[in-house]
Amino acid sequence: MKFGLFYELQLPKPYDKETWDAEDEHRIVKEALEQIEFADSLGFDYVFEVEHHFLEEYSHSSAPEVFLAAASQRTKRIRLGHGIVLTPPPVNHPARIAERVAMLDLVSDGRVEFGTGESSSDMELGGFNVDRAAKKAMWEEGLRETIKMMTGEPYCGVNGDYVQMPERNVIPKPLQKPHPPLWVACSRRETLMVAARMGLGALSFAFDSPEEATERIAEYYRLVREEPFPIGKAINPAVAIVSTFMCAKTDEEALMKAWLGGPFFAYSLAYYYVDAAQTPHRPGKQHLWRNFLNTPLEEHMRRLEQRAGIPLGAGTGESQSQKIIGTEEEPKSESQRALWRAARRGATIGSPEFVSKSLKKYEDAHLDLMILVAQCGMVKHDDIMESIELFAKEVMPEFKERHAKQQEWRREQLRGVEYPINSTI
Amino acid sequence: MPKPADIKNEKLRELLSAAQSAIRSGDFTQSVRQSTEAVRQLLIMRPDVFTADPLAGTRQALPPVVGARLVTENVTEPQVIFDREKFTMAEAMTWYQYALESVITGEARD
Repeated sequence: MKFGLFYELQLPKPYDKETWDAEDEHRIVKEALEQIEFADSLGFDYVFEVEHHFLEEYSHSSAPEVFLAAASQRTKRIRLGHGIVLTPPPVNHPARIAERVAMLDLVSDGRVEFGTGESSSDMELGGFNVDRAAKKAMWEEGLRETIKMMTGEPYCGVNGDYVQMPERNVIPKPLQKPHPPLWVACSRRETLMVAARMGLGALSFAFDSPEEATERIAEYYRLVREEPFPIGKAINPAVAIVSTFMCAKTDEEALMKAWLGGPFFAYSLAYYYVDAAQTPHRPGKQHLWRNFLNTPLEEHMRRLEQRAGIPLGAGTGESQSQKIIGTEEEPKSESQRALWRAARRGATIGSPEFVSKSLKKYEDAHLDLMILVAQCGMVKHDDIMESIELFAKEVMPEFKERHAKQQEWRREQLRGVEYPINSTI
Repeated sequence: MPKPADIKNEKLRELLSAAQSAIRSGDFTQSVRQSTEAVRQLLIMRPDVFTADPLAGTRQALPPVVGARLVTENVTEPQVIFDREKFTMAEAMTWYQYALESVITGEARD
């Protein structure tokens, strides 16, 4: 299993002020770049940067190609992932995506991972006048045309449902041939299997427990083998899970430091993706951080479960993860139990020993890549740097040593696949 | 993970086998029609599938918003409303996978 970092560039408003301080956005961008440079030097394999628009406090990363270009000049080896680019044409014209991804691939010496997605928040879809019912079709057409533009000399043009463009030679072309590895964001469970069929790496946000991951990863690879309909010129068979992260010397210290990160991440996610459907966000006027602190966490989690219909195990015994709670497998001490429950929901929080043990279950499930969300909520930069260092020195080495076994398993899974493969797993 | 052939209910098995075949033959619109019909039939037979099951721990979410909608309120039985006449490959795969997982979830509860 490989490891990466994931950046939303979260920026909660100061509790006692109505807006951010003038330097806040500048500060988090510089801190994130420093974290990525450090992670690269310590051997992290990937960094993924989101594209979100208008999601105040939740994500201030609307121009990932600029951020990743900056990261490319401060790092040497780490893969630079779009996590993701919004390919519906009303948000990004395919030609502009092809041009930007290719240029990033050139300036980074071929280190781009091309993650794609369609968005699902009303704030974003409404902001760009994207019809929710057509967004998947838009994603597909936008991606299909982008790939043709990256590989065609010239691009033959299209008169599609969402893109109309005459013949042009879209330049520059990416350094990686035929194009950088392709990914898609999977926020719904069925999208993982769509990714498999279309030859796309799956960036999963589905909160899978290790047992669920085992079954679904096996099915993903079966579909790659048996039901391929690749959208690209090369497939990228890979499954990644995004996980909230904090590694510290003791479990208690990790919990304490993570407290102002992961829960706010979950809260703000639910706010924009679930709650806002009922009560629209008022741009520039709301204060998520203050609301978050003033509401009990269990209440936030319960609302998310109820409205999304996705049991996350908020302590109500409603999820598959929770079925084991109360059995002998559950730790007795309070802090250990909190971490154990978080780990069952895919969080990577705890001491190196605890985190290593939790991650081993995902490694056994044949997960290719665990992407860690370190920068979230009000987690301090110094704590993130310490967490990255501790994890890289005390957890990552054993997984790196064993990764050859995963690659062997993968080769076996992909035996007989006839399509070209461009994957960095 | 089960395949359409493993589905016990004959009607649902036929619908999802047809949806799968339609994807393979490139008829994505036909596939969406078969898959959404399977979900509609399942809603009639097993409406409980679409609510979280505390014991089974299933996560069956609401249907995707992908060019077709399932209407359950103010109708005598569930209906499918199509927003468009033509569907894409990704849309067909999404509906097919959702329908398949929903049926499997339902049959696992029996």
